[in-house]
Amino acid sequence: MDAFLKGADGVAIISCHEGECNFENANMNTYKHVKFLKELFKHIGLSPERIQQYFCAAAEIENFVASVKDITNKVQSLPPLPKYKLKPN
Amino acid sequence: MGVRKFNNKLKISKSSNVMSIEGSITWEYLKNVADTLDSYRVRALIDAKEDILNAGVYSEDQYYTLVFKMFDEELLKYSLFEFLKSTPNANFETIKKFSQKNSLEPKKVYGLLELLKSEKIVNFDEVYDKIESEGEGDPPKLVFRDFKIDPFRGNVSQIKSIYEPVEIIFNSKLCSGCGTCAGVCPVNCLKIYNGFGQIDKEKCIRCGICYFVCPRSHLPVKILSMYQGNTSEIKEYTNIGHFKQVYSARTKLKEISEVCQDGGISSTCLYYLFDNQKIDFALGAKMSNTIWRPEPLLLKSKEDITQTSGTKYVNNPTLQILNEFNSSKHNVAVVGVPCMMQALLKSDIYNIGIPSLNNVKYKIGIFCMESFSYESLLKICKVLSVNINDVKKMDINKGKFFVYTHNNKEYFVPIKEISHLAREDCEVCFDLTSESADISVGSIGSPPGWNTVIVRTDNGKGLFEALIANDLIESKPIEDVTPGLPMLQKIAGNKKNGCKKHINEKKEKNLRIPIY
Repeated sequence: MDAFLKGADGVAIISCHEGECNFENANMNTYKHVKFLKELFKHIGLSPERIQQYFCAAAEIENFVASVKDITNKVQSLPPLPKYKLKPN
Repeated sequence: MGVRKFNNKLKISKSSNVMSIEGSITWEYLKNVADTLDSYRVRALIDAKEDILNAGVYSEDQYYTLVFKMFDEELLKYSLFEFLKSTPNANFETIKKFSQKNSLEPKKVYGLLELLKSEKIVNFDEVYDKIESEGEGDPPKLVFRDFKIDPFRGNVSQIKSIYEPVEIIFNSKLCSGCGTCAGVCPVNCLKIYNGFGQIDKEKCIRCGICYFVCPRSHLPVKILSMYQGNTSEIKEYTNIGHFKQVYSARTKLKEISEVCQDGGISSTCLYYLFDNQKIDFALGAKMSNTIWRPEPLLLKSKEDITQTSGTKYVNNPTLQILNEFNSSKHNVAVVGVPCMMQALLKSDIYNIGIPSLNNVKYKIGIFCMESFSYESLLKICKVLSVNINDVKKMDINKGKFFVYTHNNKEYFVPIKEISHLAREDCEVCFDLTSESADISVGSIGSPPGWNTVIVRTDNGKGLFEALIANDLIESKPIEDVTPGLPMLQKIAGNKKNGCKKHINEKKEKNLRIPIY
């Protein structure tokens, strides 16, 4: 959520494939959270497309590029989110 | 199924609907969403999804309904907090503005304000005007003027309160034994037996729902009466809370009058509701295999009613079996003592979407001065030198505890001599007449064989009028009987004063007290 507050219109989380995580199963825990956040986004009226998790190993360049392209396309089709307005002093 | 269906619809009309909602979202809203996601209560539920589903108390759809309902409530709470923080010298006007902005009733916002206070992130006082009353010797009347609200100035994430498991209520001898916590626990890790709670720490996911629904953790007493009267006006109430009318009544049904305690009104209410298919289930108390040790009973038809008639003076966690009718939508009536009614009304004020609590349609309250544990009841029988197995009926009347045996003998002992045997936990209760019920039934104020009936809400009024229309009861205004309402007001006042005294004692000893 922090990224959204700082002005991001979408968030891509790119993690290792299942079972290949450096930190035991952090990728699958994140997957659960992302799944929940998608449900929550629907609930509060945001598009669930704004948050995506991609599984991609460090050597899979094409996969990585495809993921980034995918989220960019998805987010570009959505209106921008409100940005924090600095109060004029 | 609710959540799923909603999602499918969203998917179809995604391009038009979602976008138009997205356009109206502000940065402040997103900020509040982020704060709410940080809330420990929501997080605990998200993280424990698998445990909850495995426990089988709630289905996946119910789980999502519950999480999102809780999320909405928390979101509203934090929006209110941010709103108060952004307004210098927040007062009554601020509350009004917030309720208009979000199209909420002011009483709902008062409730949230009380909740923020109980979490110690907002402090507020009520300012009253003193008006000298006309009659001589009467105390001056207090009339509400304004709020003085002082929110915590700082980042809300620093002070996120954690709801502890309800165990601390058990340990600090405050538990009323109503059983609500055990009835709503999503992983079924709580159990109340003999008035004492047990928690399975291995299973517990520390979601804090139990603490949240507990009537002894925090209870917005003034707001209870507001909800009862369906008003947002802040005013003083009498010792018996908000009410529409008071009657003295007794049943005309022979099968009930043979077994009932006094007038049989609560049993007759259930009889009518079952007979006219107004309810599918009712919750009550029946005698278990150990005589005079009650246990909760789920009544399924009017034939079950006779099992529950008659007052039991031993504490009984009726609401513990709430989770038995989670699975689908039913209409349920609950017959219970004041603490149970408080818990049920509290769940109306802070509705977090627990299916079984939302199924409760009728709240039938019973007067309660205090309850006893089974062991103390044995001690009372010892004082009276009666064998508990011979006891046919017990009664509290005119300051004495009566015991009637099967061979029609009568024993009694003054209440004062046995009041030290009552549950210590019940000393902090302020409510004699089930102020939070739709309709309250008791014996104080009416002649023997009659019930005093306090009609409080529209729901209760409808029920009482239907009883008369169907010729199930006979009734007369309380003014026509002795000792009548003054007696009831006096005894209710005594209980309130006793409660204040005990709470002050606990305060002095720095013990935990319920936040009323």
